[in-house]
Amino acid sequence: MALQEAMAALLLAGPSHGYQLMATLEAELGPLWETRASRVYLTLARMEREGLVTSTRVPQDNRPDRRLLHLTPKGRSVGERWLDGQGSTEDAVIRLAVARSAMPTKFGALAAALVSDRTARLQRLRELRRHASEGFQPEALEAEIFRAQADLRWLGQVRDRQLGIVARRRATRRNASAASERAG
Amino acid sequence: MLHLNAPAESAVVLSAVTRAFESGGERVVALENVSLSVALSETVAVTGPSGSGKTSLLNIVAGLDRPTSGTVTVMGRDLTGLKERELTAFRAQSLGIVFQDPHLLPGLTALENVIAARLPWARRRVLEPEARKLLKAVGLGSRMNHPPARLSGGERQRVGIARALLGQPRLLLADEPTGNLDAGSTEELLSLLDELRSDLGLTLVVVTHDPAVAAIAQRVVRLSGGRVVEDRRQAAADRIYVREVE
Repeated sequence: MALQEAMAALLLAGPSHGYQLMATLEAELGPLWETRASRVYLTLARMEREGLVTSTRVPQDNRPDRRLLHLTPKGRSVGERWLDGQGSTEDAVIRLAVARSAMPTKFGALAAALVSDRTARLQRLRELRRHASEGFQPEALEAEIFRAQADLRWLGQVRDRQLGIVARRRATRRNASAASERAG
Repeated sequence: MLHLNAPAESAVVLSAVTRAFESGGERVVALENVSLSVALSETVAVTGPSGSGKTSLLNIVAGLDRPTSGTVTVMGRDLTGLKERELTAFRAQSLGIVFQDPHLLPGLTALENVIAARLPWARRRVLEPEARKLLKAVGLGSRMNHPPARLSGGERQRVGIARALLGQPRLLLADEPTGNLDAGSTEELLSLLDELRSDLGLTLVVVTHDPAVAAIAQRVVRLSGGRVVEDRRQAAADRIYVREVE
């Protein structure tokens, strides 16, 4: 998973701290996805070293200080490019989940971009399949074609249902904030 | 301005087509002010969710339905002024239509099913050699004397395609042609359609809700609520990721 890009894109919604970013991502994605705190904090530390985020300390009563993360212009560019559908799009589920949460106005365009990307891939796979006749090549290509078919059908559904999907935003945000508060 | 029977520059031209009807006391608008054209030899997919107007659009292009307003020109012929008998003859002679269910006649063989639809306009002895060639072209050379009950779903749809192509129409319309097929048969049928389109120089318009089927087209027109909401070209990726064996 493109964790750095996902963190940058989540921060497009505004400054946040690491635990809340993790909680938002997990709430959006549900039980089939896991984020490891160690990986998240290592990624955020690297992002700060590379100039994608800056941080400020926020003192708290009876709790350790929090580090509030702010996106820099460089980090903003990384997040926005990722939500525009650029780069390898193997992480479509994550991108769409993050777009829904952090930048719902980009959700529809991202879904459309992913449909175009998958369509182009399926067309290319079919071209390759037409010329494949040796060994296990036809079946190896068919495996990818069938996956691409399923992917494209799912993305088509997401694109067609975008208004309803984006409308779910508020309830998920309240749950994410509550979980974050309980953890301190 | 297009004239009746003029040579076609475009295969299909819809100009401000609206199709509305009364249902349960309410006015239902299946298509609203749709204008689009399909060039000769182009492959266009018309997509959209259920109720978006895709089948209404195909029915109007096929002359199976008439618009409430607007004009429809297919292969250079203005359909809007034609009488029913003229439309029927036009469809039989100029178009091929493939439906989701080919509705083959159970008492006839595959060959007879291909020939039957064109019999009023041509003699069997003229149609049969071409029908045999088409059945071979769709991979049913050894099964043309089988009745539909002895053919698989994919094979029955191939008979439907051969039947649609008898008479060498230049325009082939397909309404959810893979709707009843599994993933593997879908790919085989799409590959066949693409091959035939290329070999016979067809213009192909495919109506489908399935973006994986729409991916065979060079251009996709998406409908929503009876209107065109997207009209874009699509092309194969130049490169594709390569998996590493680890």
